[in-house]
Amino acid sequence: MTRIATYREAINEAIREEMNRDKTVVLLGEDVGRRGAFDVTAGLSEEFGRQRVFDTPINEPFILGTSIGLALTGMRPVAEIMFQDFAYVAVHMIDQAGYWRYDSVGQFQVPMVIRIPQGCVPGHTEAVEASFMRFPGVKIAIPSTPSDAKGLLKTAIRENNPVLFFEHRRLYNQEGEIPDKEYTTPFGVAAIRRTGKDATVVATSDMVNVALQAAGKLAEEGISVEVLDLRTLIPLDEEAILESVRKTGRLVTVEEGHLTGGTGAEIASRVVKRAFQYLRAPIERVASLDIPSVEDMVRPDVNKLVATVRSQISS
Amino acid sequence: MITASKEELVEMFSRMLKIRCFESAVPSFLPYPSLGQEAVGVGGGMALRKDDYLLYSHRGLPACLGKGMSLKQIASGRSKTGSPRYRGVPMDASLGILGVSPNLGTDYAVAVGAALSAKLRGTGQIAMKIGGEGSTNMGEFFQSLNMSVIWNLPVVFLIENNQYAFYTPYREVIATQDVATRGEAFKMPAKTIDGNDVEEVYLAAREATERARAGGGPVLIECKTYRLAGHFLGDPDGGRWYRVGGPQEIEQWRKKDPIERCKAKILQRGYLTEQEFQEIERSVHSEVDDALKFTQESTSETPDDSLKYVFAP
Repeated sequence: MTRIATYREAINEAIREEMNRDKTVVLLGEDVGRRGAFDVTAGLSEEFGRQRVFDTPINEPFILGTSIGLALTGMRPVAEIMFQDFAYVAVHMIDQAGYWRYDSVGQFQVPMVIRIPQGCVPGHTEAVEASFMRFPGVKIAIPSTPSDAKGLLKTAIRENNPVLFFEHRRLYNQEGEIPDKEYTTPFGVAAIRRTGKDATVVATSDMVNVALQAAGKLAEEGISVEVLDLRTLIPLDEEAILESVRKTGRLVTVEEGHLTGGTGAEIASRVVKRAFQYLRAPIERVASLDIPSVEDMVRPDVNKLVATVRSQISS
Repeated sequence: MITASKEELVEMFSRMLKIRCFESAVPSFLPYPSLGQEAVGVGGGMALRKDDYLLYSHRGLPACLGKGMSLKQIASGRSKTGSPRYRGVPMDASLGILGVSPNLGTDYAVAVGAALSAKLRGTGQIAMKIGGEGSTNMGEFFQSLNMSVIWNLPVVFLIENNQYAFYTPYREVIATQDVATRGEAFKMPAKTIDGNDVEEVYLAAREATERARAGGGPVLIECKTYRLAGHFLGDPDGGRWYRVGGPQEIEQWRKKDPIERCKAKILQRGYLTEQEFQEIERSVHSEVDDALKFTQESTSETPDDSLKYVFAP
């Protein structure tokens, strides 16, 4: 029925399965043909050959521009941006990818996936997914479990639109259950990772683990927290968030990126608009401080989230 | 000496004249005038096959016409009845016309992707990217030269050196003076030609595309031309104030007008008589007049319609 696999293995499997299923899928990026910086693409160039799995120079605009050209003309590229902040080097390419179908009034489509490992380490201090919610025509998937990593990536590769696929380096070794049978995970459907009635915590990626640990600690104090894993930011499962907030009356968002202009800011705005009368307390956002540092004191952790929920409940 | 055929040369003349008249009649349609540099897009576009891919510069109408779009299609594409339809710059998937990136000079890499796609699929298609000399300062240009050589891709880079990028003279921003020289750094075959001789552009482009198609790899062709008008429709003083050689520089280049030179060639070779030319010119004006009607059609969209085509199903 299911078996255990790591998040890393799940991603590798997804790519392998989709490359077997569809010969137009190709993999490109820095070192992807040579295992990849984090071993995620190990074995793929050996299996599919260097025509379908190939290395690029260090030039993100080139990697993504080439991907757009491939996608416009009948191929389905899966490109990799090695570290999340390198995506900022090629923002205009991500922007353009979302523009081409619209400006051609449907004549063209841009089926491309951009895999982006995240995880704050020295030199790479930001989590960037929030920045890319603003690019019309571009979807965003951000899995927190091996099962979702595989399912969402398969969906992403089959999508006829540009998709940013945010992986997380701290999750690569995390194990989880993966269905044996063929499956995909739909976009725009959040997962309730833990049910509760006193507060809703909305998270993605590794912050889902932080949220679950916090929920466990708060349960010991008699506080019941519902944890929502968004899985995709574009499309966003607004209904799931609203339904939960209507039940609990309290919302806390948690993200690894900076506070200002983060995913929490966007979600909070929407919830205030559509569920104002259900809120028993102001919405709280837990995020990294707005400073270019990677110290632990900057980033959200279990203690900070616990303290925030506790304080929101008692306010 | 290889020459274009009579039919080809007359067709080139006709298309360049169509663009000249159309832009003169509706300068705001695509407000980056091609005045004086029509030969590059027309000659380059006509060297391509129907299923080859084309990306052009923002001064794109000559290239679209060269590749095979009609004036009517160009003029009507932004309205609901257009066939094909486009928002912004002309695109035609049936002719492989991918358009141009809104970020100048970034789509050299898109051309690489299209050429790579053709190579992987083994179809014999090639990709051509036409760009101005100013855009060759973008990093994507250099990387595209580099990697298209390493990957041996069927792509032709046709550079329109009209000597000014917006207001800036090329000598101030291109150390090698010739863009073709930049190809040498990446071991790419490159040449510089007279961009105001449409036949020379056409033959050079055809030679390059056939070489690429046969697996010979990428080629860089720099077409020396000149922008007679300003960069943009609204340029102060018609774009005369920043010319390195003063406004008289424009007059010097007007004498090398590509349309006049093409006509002179056709007459000199006895392909057409003066009277036959008048027939052609009448026909061109008539076609332009017809196309103008379509530019009057509304291009505005309802709020609902404007939401369509953001995502593919």
